[in-house]
Amino acid sequence: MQPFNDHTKNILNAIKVERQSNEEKIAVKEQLIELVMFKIGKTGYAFYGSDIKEILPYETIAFVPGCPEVILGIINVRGDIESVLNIHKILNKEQPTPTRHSRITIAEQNGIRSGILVDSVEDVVSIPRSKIFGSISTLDKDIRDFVDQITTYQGQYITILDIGKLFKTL
Amino acid sequence: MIITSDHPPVHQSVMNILLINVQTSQIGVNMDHIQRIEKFQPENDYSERIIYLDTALQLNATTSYHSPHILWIKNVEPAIGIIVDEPQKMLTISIRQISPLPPLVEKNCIFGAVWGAVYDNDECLLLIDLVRLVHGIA
Repeated sequence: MQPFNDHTKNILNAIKVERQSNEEKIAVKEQLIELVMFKIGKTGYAFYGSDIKEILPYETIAFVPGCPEVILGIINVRGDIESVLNIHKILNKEQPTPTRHSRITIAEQNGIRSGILVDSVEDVVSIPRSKIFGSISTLDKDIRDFVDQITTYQGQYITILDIGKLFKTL
Repeated sequence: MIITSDHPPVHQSVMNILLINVQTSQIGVNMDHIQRIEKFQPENDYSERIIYLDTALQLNATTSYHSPHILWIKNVEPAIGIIVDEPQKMLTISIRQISPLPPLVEKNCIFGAVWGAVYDNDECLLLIDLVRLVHGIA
């Protein structure tokens, strides 16, 4: 087979180098996972940022008769009506009175969308994938079914909850 | 039981609703579903079946009725009346103001009678189809 001339070789090398560099850039991007850190009581939890569409201040939630206790009711978000889930009830935690720190996170996964009332949203951060670990078997049995992974943030363990698993309770 | 009425036809652009308060909820019912409204007299021996709205909606907390009235539902045989606290007022709303319930609420609400919501000045008004409600408890 006739070998490539130097000019063609140079072009091929340049393409190879550029592709390699792009792959490295993608790999670096993939290593960062966005997390929305929030609190239930004094415990830190997180949702994947890709599942959270909006974070809203607390507003009055209208009760809907006939709904199970895990649905607090509905809210109006710029003309769209959204349901609000009671994550305290789902995780079997004590239900506090909403405060000025309370937030309604609007979550969406697999076409299912709902608000989730949390006690506070602490931060939205990007964490390297290498700092996110698989779930541990010693987790509280009330939350085990909803946990995807765990991580640490500012010296605290953060339990990453899977929105899809929360929605599946309904 | 004969059920003959349902939600307003789509060509109808407005709906007259009667506003009722029950516990913390504001409820709107289609006036077209109501045959007549009368004051509830506890001493009367009503031959027709009557039921309190909070019982029909399976609300747990105790509800006080300051001025109970009976809403007699149209086109339902045998006749059923729903006892509500004094109806607040009548409103005419545009069909466009009505939002359907979110899918999770629709899927999990045990009453098919709760069918929509209207927001007016940040206040939520839940729309309840009384014909469906009485069908569910009959």
